[in-house]
Amino acid sequence: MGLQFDASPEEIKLFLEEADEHLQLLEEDLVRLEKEDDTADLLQAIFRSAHTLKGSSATLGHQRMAQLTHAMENILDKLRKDQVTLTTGVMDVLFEALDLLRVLKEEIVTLEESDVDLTGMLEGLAAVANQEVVKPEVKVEKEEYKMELDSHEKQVLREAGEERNAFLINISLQENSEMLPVRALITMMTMRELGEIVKSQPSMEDIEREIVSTKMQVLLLTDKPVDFLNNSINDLPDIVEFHIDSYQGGESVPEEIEVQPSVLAQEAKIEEVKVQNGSNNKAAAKDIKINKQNRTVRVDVELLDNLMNLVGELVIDRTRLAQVLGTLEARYEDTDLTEDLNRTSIHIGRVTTQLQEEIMKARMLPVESLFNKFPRMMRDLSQKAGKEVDFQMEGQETELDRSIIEEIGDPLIHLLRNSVDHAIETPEERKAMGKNPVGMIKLGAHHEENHINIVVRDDGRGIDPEKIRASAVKKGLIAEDVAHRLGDQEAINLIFASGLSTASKVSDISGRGVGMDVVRTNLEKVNGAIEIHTEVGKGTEIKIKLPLTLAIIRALLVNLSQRVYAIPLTSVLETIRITNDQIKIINKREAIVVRGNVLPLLRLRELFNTPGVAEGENDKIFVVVVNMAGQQLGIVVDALVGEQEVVIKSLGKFIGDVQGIAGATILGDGSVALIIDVPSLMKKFTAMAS
Amino acid sequence: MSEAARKIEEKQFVVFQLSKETYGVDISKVWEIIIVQPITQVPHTAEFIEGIINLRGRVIPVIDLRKRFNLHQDEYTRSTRIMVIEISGNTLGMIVDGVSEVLRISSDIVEPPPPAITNIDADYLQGVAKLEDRLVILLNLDKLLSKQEKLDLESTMLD
Amino acid sequence: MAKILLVDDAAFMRMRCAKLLTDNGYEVDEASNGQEGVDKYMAIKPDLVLMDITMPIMDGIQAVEEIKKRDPEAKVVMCSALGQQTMVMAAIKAGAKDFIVKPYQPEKILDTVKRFVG
Repeated sequence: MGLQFDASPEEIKLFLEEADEHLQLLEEDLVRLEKEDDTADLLQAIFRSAHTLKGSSATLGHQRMAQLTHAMENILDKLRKDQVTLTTGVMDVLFEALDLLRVLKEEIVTLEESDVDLTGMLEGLAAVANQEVVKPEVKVEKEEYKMELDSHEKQVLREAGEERNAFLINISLQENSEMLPVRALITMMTMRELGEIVKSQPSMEDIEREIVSTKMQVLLLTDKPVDFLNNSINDLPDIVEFHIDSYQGGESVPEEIEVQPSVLAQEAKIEEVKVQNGSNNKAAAKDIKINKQNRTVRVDVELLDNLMNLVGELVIDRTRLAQVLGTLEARYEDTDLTEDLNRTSIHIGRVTTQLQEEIMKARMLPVESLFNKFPRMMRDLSQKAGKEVDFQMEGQETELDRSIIEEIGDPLIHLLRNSVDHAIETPEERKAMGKNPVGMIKLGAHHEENHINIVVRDDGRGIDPEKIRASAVKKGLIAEDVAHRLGDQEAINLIFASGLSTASKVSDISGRGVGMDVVRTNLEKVNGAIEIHTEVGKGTEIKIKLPLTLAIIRALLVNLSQRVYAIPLTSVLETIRITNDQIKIINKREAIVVRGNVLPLLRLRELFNTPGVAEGENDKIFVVVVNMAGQQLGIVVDALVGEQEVVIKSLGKFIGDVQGIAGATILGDGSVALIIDVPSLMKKFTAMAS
Repeated sequence: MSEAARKIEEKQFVVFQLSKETYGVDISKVWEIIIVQPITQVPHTAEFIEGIINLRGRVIPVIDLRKRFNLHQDEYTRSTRIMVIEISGNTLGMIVDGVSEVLRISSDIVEPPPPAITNIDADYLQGVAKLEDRLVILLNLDKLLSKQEKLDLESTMLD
Repeated sequence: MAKILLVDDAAFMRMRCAKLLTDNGYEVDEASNGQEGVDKYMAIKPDLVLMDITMPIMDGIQAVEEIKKRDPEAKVVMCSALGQQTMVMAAIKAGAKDFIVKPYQPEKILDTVKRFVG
């Protein structure tokens, strides 16, 4: 069934953006609400979010969404007034309602009605709130009313003076007028502006207590002429009719009007405005963090991508310019012209660097945007798994390029799910081991030099290298004797091999027990790396290293057969210069011994089948030591050229993926250099080795 | 096959030499023609993929049709050019022995290609234009970058 | 051309209202919370303020108070949801002149605005 809303695409886009923000806030706050003691401000903020969503969805025309948010708002209102106690049952209902709300919001995106059970949810919510839908009822009782003045009021009249006259004003308000008491108040305030109110029915106190009817009667002392009064009252909205009569003497009422006082069928809603204001002030400090709307501009991600591309072009040209300048200077020596050009070139260089940094910054998002859905997820996961988990996050403000954030979302979810499912033991198991029955899972992010570290740490059962060895042998991944020779850390790294799973049964949350190979592949897509450190019985720490940006990286330029290749610096551990006689044959492969450890070698020439002259016995050989997931490899090249920032350009759809090559880049002299993809290089090497 | 009421269209073609034969390609697909420049080889790609070049800051693959279709290969001469073509948003360069001219060819002189006129698969041939003094073999480059082509490529790719 | 200041923390709501008003020849400015509303009021001195009640940092009632303190002649109309009767009362007592209930009918807004600014 298709849905239509009376709004332009622009308005819908804005609605959805704001709705998403509020839904996110609601989720965060609901999670905090469950944990924290001081809930007053939280409830206020949560109420506000639901309230805003109600208003916007009603305005948009999404009735069901408005109904749902209205029902939620009712509960929240009662909660913040302490009329309903906050129990786990109530929290569960609120979370469920939130999920339903998301589905309804999606309807606006897909423009298709989903088949959710709204009635059931509304009934559930109403049951919690223990109330029926509140509608101010104006019960009209037929009663006659005569305005009678007490002695004081009569006195006031007597002392009226010459200029002022007394008028009895009868006003009939519209019956279906919204917020009748307020309408009455406004009318009364208008009367106040016109003169002195001697007496009124209903009285001001009645109005403030929201006890009103459609009929009002006011005895007014005023120096204003009748037509002025006439016009003033005429301007007021929602008035069906009114009469202004002179009030003579103090005894009788010239016109008798039937006034029907009535009582609203509502629970006492006497709220102290002061309390309202007070709590609003307290909420202010937190709200400043929430209200990001003031000094930000929404920018399309596509625009940022385009800007990034353009900056990439500039980076190349900047290098080119420097080179041309060098050639010119050599040819024409130093003249004023080359001086000038030099200065300008340097300035362009500076500006380009700044531009690059600013754009990179614009593309950076705090990981918070990714992390913020985790607390809720962890709550649900631990409940389903029957585990008790204390989930902590830190470093949410750490910033990452947004495309990287997109790519690491799934891997992180996978890792966190694994922690809950497999790493953390059941409360009973933990107690038996002398551990705190509540397991700890920590997610942290921090900036280090030119990359970001994301760490998932738990105090669970750890990973047993023996189990991994056994599993790998059983799955036919490695031979048994090879498995035995593997060190503990190497065995644990086997986790990243595809086809390995140590889970004895499939849990519905994580699907297949371990999908670490997928995790690693996803991370490598963004030039990231992953490491596992674990201790049986104590816990596990998984460390992910990510570059700050995708498009521009620092690379080590190397020479091979007069061709230049670029190796991303994040993978490079060190460079070594050796001689041919240092190369040994270990396990049928070339390798060298560095600081007591065996470093296998890969001749780049072999891998790429490039022709060239073999090195002589004593020629110097350059080895670039790269590191990937704890494994090290020495890549043999002809020479080292230098370090440089390069712009990664894809090889294009026609050529597609080439194993060992991540892309190409254009060097300062205009030539094209291939960028080496270390992960796939490693894979190829391991394949070749076995 | 030709219908009686076929509209006569005139289209412009870039005419070039390839392995001693004359070919033509729809001008709307030709981006530019450049002098052969150093091509960076990319390992582990099909043999007819010469490599990649830098075209004003863009990395573009270059192919050699002669290798692809097993045509006779001449050495590069001063007339050898790289023809940069763009099809469905993909840009690539083609090595040709020489580019001669741009011709207006009307559809009434184009006939379906007879077999064995060239080694190039019939799939890629649009037809043969019978000019006064020569034949111009019209190429359909869209097929060159189609999915099927890619699949065929992958099966022939060396590792 | 009459100037109207819209104060509401939902950009979506502001957009709708602003479009309606500008289509009918009014000049519109916006603020996204009570504090900004007060500041903007003092800066541009609009002819009328349409003020939402529930907003972060400073709510509508407080904003009305603040504005009235600085300009006793200020004309403010509250925009509220049905269940906020008591708060609207408070706003009226603080000096707001009228109210409109959300979701509002376009005619209602236009009528109300016309009444106050012509």
